[in-house]
Amino acid sequence: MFFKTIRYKILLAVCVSFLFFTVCTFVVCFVYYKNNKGMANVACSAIVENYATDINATINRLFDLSNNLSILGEVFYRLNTKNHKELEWSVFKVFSNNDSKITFSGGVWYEPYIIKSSQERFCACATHNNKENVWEVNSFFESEQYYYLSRMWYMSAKSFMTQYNKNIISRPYFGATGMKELMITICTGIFDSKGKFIGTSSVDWELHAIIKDLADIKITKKSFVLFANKKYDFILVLNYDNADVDKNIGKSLSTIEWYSENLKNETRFFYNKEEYVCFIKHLFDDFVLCINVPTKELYYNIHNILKIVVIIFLLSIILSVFIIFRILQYNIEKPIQYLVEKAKEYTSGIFNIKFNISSSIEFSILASTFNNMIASIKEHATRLAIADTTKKNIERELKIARTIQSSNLKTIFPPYPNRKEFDIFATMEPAKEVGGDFYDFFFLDDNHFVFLIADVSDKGIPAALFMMESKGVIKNSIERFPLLNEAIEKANNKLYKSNDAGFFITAFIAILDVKTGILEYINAGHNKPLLKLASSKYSYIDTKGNVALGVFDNVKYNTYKVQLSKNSALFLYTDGITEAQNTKKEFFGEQRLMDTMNEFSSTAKNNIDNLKNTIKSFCDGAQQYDDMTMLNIIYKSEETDRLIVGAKVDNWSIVYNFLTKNMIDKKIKKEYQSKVLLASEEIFINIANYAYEKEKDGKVWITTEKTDITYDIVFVDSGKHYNPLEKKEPDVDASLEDRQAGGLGIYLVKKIMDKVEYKYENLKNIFVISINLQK
Amino acid sequence: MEIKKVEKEKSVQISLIGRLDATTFSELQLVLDEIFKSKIKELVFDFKELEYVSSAGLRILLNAQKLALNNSFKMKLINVNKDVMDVFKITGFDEFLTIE
Repeated sequence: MFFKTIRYKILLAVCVSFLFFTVCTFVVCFVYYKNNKGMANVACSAIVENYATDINATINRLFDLSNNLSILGEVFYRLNTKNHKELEWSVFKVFSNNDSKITFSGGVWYEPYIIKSSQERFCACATHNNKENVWEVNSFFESEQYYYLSRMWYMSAKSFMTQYNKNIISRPYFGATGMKELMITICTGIFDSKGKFIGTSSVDWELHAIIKDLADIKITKKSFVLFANKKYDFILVLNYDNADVDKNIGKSLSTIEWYSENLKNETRFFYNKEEYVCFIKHLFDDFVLCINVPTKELYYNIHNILKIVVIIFLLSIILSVFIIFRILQYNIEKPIQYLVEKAKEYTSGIFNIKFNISSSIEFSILASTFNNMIASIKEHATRLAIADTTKKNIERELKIARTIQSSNLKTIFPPYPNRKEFDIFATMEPAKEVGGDFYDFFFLDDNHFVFLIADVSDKGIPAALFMMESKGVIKNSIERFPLLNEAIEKANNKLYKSNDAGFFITAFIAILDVKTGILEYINAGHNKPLLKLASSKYSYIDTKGNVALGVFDNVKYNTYKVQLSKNSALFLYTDGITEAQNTKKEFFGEQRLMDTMNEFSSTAKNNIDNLKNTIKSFCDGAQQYDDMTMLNIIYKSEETDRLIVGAKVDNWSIVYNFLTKNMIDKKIKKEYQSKVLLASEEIFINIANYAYEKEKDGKVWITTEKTDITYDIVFVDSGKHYNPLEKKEPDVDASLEDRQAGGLGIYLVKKIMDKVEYKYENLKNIFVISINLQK
Repeated sequence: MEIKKVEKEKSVQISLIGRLDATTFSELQLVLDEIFKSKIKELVFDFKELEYVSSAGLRILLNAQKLALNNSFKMKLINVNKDVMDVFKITGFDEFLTIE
């Protein structure tokens, strides 16, 4: 459920954009970082390059100077002037034009006895007087005390000087003149015309200044410099952690664990657990310069800037995402929640609500639309309520009308439980609440049974009213006039006269003589009924009918007669049956009606129920527009299972004989017979003694019926309403003195019969006792 | 119903043949009324050929038994068939009638 909420979707969108912006930020930062890192590297490389160029230039100058002095020495030798002063002056001249910062001394030195055979040592030397900042000839080096011929620099120069005009750089060493500065002496050999080594020039490279300069290079706080000569494996500068420069001077390169011959520019290495980037440059004559900067410090600014940028970026993204979320929440989610809550209130029955949203134009339009909707719903509801009340009133009245109408039709079946000569069942189902169809049946006397079906030419209330009148008129007329056709003719005239609305009635009226089975009937424009003679099949009565009732005055009606035998049957119906329609607009029709009646044969009620079901499944839910009325009567011939006898004690023997004969006929076992007789006696005597108090002609109708399971005896009397089963039972456990003689009869009946029933219907006491034949 | 009466000293035996029901009980009543006029010591009903007894018959037997108790004579029923016995049992008459 949560995944379908707007809240979730907003959150999702916000998160996705947050993610997107974050990724963008990191990409931008990464590119920036890469570029700037490169730039830092380039800057550092440039610094190294710069120093390297300076150092190279210095070495070149020194070489030039040394070469010049060497040429001077050779020229002096060849001129053979042997004037020491001249040489001194020349040397002085060479140096006086030079920067004292690079070199502070130098000179020309000859092999022993080369210039003068009498003089072992011959040299000329100039030094720089720092105090007065002038160059001067220094004779100290010529002295016995100095004795240059045994000096290490001279000897090494002499031994290495195998090639003409070759420059030699000495191993760095500390000067002997009390000047403790580190120096390198650069020598260039002097040769005679035969290529014999006759002396050397010298230039002292004072390293103090360059060491100081290099040691002062501080690109970052922890950066350090390495300056060394690879040939002599001599470290000149190595200032880790601002350590004293002098400490490392002269140490071997192999003491440096991070250094190797293959070290390249921008290589990273670890020293003292810290990462460094190395910017290296290899110089002339195996000098190497290397500036090492800790990565952390080198990129410190970049890292810092990036950190700030990322934090600002992220903060601004979070802030904007939050703002967007709040805006969406307040402008969309909240109004929707508000609408939902209000709508819930409305559906829970609070109808006088008003939607009020002003946060956004869209939702305020929606709110006012809802308000309009509620207003129109209210209006409709009011109108509907009025219409509903009116409709309910009409429905109520119709219901009353229906009750009146149906109470006017006989609906209790069997209507004459004691008459076994025929079985009758009828029903009327109006299409509307009330209908224009009706049926009726009644006894004219003990043997003549009238039954009829009729259809008023309309439906609804007017037809129902006319139907009520017609029913009364027809019954009255039949009861008054002995001949059927006369009765119907009189009824027709009466209906014709009281029929201003122009109704007419089709009717089928019949009188059955239950004793003889003779049926008289008149068909006044009604549908042809189905007639079955004996046990054959139903077919439509084909006699010519007469005009419907209420149409013309003084019409003559024809009476037809037919002899019914046992199991003959008649089915009367109105056109609602044959004109029942299904959804395809097909009629149920006469053929289907006849087939249905023929395929099923049971009691009248079952026949009609079966037909009803067939019609129902035929119609398949289609609405019916006509009333449906039907009546089925099955003639059972004269009844042998029936006895009508005066309600007198003396008549018990008649009843006794009737029952005895009946039970023998029906093959009731002897053991049951005595029980039935005993119970029957008690019931009959009871009726004879109490049912008719003062009436002398009171009668008892006794009928029997045997099924596979039971044998029933029905006692019917029209005396006073009295249910003997309600009487208090006698105390059969009382002692002799307390014994009462009354009530024993009914008690006996209850005890010996399997089923005892009493009911009061149609002003008649009906007492049914039955015995189970399978016990 | 047919009633046979045999008197021996002060003992009376009544044999009933047929049905003792609402239409016949009055015949027996007349016979019994006659018997009760004189003082008897024993009254015996032989039901050998009695088909059945209805409540009307029970009433007479009940009254006869009450009289027997009050006038201290013996009353007993002999040869009672099953149907009649069933009726006695249902109504509880077998509790106070002397049936042999």
